[in-house]
Amino acid sequence: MSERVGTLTRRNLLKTAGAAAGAAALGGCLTGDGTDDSPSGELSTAFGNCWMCSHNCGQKASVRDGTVVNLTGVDGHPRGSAGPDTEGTLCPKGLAQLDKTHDPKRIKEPHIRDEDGNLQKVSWDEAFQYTAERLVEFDENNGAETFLDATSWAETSIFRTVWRDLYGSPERISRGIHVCAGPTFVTGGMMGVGSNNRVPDYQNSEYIIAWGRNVLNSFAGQFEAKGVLEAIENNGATLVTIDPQHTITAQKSEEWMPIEPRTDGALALAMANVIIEEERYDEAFVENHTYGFEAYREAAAEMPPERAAAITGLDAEQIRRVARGFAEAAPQAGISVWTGTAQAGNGWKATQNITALNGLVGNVDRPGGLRLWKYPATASFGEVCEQDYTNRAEYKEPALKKYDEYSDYPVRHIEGIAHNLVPEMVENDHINGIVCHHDDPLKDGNAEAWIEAIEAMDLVISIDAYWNGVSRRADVVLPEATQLEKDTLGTGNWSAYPNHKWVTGAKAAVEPQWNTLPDFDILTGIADAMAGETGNDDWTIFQQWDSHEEFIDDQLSTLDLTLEELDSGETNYELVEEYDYEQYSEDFTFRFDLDQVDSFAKAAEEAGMDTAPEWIPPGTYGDSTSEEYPLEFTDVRSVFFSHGSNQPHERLQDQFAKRNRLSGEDYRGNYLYLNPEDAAERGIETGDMVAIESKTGSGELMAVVTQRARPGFVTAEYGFGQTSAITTGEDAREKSADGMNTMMLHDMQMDPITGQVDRHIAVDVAPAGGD
Amino acid sequence: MAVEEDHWVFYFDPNRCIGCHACSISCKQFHGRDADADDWRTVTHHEKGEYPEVAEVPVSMSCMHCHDAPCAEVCPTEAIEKRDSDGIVTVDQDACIGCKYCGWACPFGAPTYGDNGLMSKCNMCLDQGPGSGAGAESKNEQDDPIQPNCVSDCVGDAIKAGPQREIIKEASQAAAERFQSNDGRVVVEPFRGEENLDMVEHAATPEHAGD
Amino acid sequence: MSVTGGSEWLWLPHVHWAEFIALYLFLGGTAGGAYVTSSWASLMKSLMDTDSWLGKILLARTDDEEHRYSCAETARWGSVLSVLSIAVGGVALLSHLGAPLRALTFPVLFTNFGSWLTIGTWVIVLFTIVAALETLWLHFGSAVATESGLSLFPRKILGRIDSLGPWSTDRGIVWLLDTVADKTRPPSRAHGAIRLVGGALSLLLIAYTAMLLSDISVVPLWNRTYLPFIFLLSGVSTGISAALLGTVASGGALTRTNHRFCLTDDAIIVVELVAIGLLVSFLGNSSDVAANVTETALFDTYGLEFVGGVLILGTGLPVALSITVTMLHQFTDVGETPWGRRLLTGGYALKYTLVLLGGFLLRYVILMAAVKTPLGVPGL
Repeated sequence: MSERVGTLTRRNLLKTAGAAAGAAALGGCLTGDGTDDSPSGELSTAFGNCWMCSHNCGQKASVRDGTVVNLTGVDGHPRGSAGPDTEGTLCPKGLAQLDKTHDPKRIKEPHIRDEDGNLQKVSWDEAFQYTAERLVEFDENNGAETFLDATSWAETSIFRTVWRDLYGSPERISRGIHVCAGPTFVTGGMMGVGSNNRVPDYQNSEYIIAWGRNVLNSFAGQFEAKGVLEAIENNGATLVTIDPQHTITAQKSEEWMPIEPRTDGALALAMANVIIEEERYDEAFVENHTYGFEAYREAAAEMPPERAAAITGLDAEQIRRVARGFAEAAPQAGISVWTGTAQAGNGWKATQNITALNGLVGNVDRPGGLRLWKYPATASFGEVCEQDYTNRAEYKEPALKKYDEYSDYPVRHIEGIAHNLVPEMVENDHINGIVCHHDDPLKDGNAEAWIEAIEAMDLVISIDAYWNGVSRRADVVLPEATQLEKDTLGTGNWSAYPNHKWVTGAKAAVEPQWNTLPDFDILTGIADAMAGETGNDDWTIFQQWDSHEEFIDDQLSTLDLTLEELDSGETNYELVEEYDYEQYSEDFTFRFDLDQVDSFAKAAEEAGMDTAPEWIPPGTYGDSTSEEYPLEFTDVRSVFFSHGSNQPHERLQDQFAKRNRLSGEDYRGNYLYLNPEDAAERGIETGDMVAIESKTGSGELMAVVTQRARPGFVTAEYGFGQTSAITTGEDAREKSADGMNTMMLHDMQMDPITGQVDRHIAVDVAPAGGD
Repeated sequence: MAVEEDHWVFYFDPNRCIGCHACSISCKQFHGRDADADDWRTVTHHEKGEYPEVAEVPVSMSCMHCHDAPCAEVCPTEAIEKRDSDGIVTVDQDACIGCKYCGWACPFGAPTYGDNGLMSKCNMCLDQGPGSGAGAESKNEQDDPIQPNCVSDCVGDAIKAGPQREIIKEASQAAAERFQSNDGRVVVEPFRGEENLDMVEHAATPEHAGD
Repeated sequence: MSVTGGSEWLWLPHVHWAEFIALYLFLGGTAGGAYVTSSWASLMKSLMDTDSWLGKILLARTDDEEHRYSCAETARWGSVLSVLSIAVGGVALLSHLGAPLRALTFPVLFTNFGSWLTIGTWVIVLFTIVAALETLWLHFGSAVATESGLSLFPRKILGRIDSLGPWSTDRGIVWLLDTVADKTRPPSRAHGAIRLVGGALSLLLIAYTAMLLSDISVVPLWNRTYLPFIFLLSGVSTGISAALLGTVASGGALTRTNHRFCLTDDAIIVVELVAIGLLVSFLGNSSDVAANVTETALFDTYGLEFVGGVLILGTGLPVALSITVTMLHQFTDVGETPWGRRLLTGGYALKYTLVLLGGFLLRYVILMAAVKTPLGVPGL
């Protein structure tokens, strides 16, 4: 488990009781179980991978008496540091893992719903047995293919095998493409660079464009923020932020382009216009490795900076300046896009136009540019599984593609499901059950309909650490042990090491708390019960591993590593293979025009868009503001919360409130940010409770009036409100929680190609009645 | 007896601070303080201007362990001590009467008062918990003294702490010069591109107090 | 505490020194001022008793029996009120502290004599001893046993306890204190010297409350030049008002003693107002933004307490009232009629009460409106 540390370390000062009276309280007050005896055990060091945002920054834990008493980063870590010989740190969310590990608000026991409709605590054996029975029953009554796998962030990869292969459901909804940044992932993939359009090679870059990203606060691993800061300090890199709102990234940028929301596609074309016109593009790369340049050139020609300026509200000179700066610095120039440009109805074209700029300047897989990051070659499940089994979903088509009811949706050519359509599918009996695993779909869009859908489903299984809108409605609640309580293996592509593949892993730092289990054990427990219930031997495949560690060792076998070696006691990551730049093959093709991609061509035609870059105005798909709803709303993120995971943590709630200068209020929900112009018009001041309303929904939250907000554009953090994990109490449905679920405002708005939820909503805001 | 150059000081680079509050949280976790207790290390955000000519700058601050420790000067019981050995200012809660005079004297607002009315504040993580560290071994005597948590957990690497002579070496020329000429209490990097030299430190230096 | 953000200045939050500390500062000042008043009244009485040349100069007449009596009353009121003030003030202070019991070990605990808090504590202790002795010597003793006056209420109260207690009424607490008083009372010269020492301690007591505040260099409102001066004036003024309020209650409103003290108080208040005006002007013209903000706050956030409470109710109105009443007292025969006497008595009483109220509000505002010099935010 954890290693004794004999020599003087950074944390040796955490003495045992008696040595420091002040320290006595520490271990006690951090245990969730109420013991407040002075800790007497030895202090040891253990490691973990942070999973708060699922991007695996290394964690170094100090443990005493089975309690995590301190937490910090891992020096040199690929995700959590700036690279070799640099300090590893943890962002606020990562630090909150300390509180999360011992948080008494967590779900502590398995629960099943009895005949009276109440959740009852049961043992794991009972829970597994009951789950298996219900799954078998579900298959008989509804067909396993109507069971939706909503396993976003299982920390182990076997969920795929369990729900898809063994249980036999082709229905799966994950985060990335469906609710996070569909256009970003899929355009990148189709254009030839995968989703590497998200993370450029920061450290070697001289020009970085954070496009619709607040990368210094909303990062996927701290290496992003650190890399940007290093680039600015060491390379004198120019940082450009394109964002309707002012953020910390904008603050540290040489250029902030305060763009009209959803007009990024025009800006991107205008930049191409300048770059092509002034012949600043990489002719060799365009000639040898791209397809569709002519169509791109045509589209760009129709968008000179002046036209884009009128559309975007930007200054034409600034557009020229940024285009030139980017092209001149190229290939050591990179763009980062993720959700800001993707979570809009016209997000597909915006992202396609933006991603195209990379191909234009030829920064693909070159230092400081769009790096084609690689994963290490850990063994796949198929490679390590020594038992044959049938993939029962192999020939099954997801409902979206199969049934006529969805023939109006272009997304069926591209994806197997769309978030907004799930309620409809439930109504049509095409989806009748769901397993939510470290996921809360109620905050991702179309909230009201989704709530009804969850309530209507025949079987809802929740694997989660906290009570929320899903687990409270579930038929089976399986409490998951959190990150430091289980053996973990993490891999990834992008990191602070642009030339290395890496793995990170750790053994559990402490035992699973209360009666929780690591997800590997939950899934294999279900599998074992299913083996018994169905008599089907396939379900016994996980028995070839006695523990998650054994499985992890198998996964690592291709790298000639074991978990024990990886979690060496000094650190918990390993750089496993070097790879150079410009690794793409001779026939690598970067597509500007996607007419060759059959599925996209069909979808585009149905959606009424071109296959090549083009300008699609906001409102073509999705909302436009009106007299009744004159403000545009979208939700945003903050450094304190990852989706809905961290809202229960008091330290983060308090710091979030302090950041907004409202910690004196008795309110720990999300805030609505409005510009003083919009606020004055409505008689709203900071600290007022306001009501926000769209055509399809409404809610109440506290206002923050700030000049950082764009006039006409209001935002709020999501993951709060009635269905969020911030509510407490397993028995009461939706106890009053501070703040609101922003997606109660939402209906069916989406990107027609990927089904990505379009979170831009036309709203109005007014002071709420009363206090 | 150590010279002032051996005394530990804080360093802050506003160019690198991303206003994430990891420092505040890390500090409170290390010292076992409640979420809603007053921060020892605070992060504040300062907005100026009108959209889109708007700026917002985060500042991270804690006790600066001032060379002239105004808090120690006013404390009637000498509960507050600026240690000779490493310059860290500690408070002995057994001697504190909770008069809050130190709270008024501090140019940085560092003292906080708990439910028991007694003062506690940053002790550069000499030890854990409110009031701890008084009488602890000098950081300059230890082989591998621990970095204050805020330093080791700053995501942007904006905060440093260490003996003054070492910090001065790591700081930029401008920052070092200003610290020395202003008889400063904390080393602060100039904000990239700033013309005037308004600094976190400025208003709080002994000469400028009352400017 | 945690700091508040928001503007290009990093403003530091207010430290919680509010009503309790304001009360302590006010009562400390009043205690000192009451003792000085008492001593002065004792001096006047002794001058009348000895019929000295000095007395003739200061008093014009030395044979005014009413005057002598009211001086005696004033001396007694001043002394007992100074003790009561410092006692209540002390309780107010202790109840503010985080560790009051620990503070009571101050003789060994308060080792930092560079701190005004330490110096002040000893001043209070020494002052309390001297003031208590004065109270003892003025209120007890065989000579006093035959006197009467409202200021002798401690005798009355203790007498009542004596009659209820299980001991002999003739040999009770009052008898004990009378005996001790007579045994310890120093001869006239020495007593005068002790009063001088006491007077010096009184002024030090009053001044210390301002020295304590103005040692804080980061609060421009707590200015080392103006604050001690203002507090000294205010302390003496409230001390006079407290003592003479007692004298008025004893029926001595229409005496020369009261008249003279009242006018003296008015003069002090006028100078005090000028000093306050100078302080406000200093704040307004200062280059320290905290000083400017304080000045604004005095008329804005704390406008009610400062303008309404201190400037009008606490100083301006009392002076106007006082001049009216003293004029009526001295130059008309309003004081001849019963209703006139009641009117004037009420007028004096009201004036003194308002001054006391003003004295408290002055300390309160000086605490609440205090703002620390902010830090400049980089880059803004």
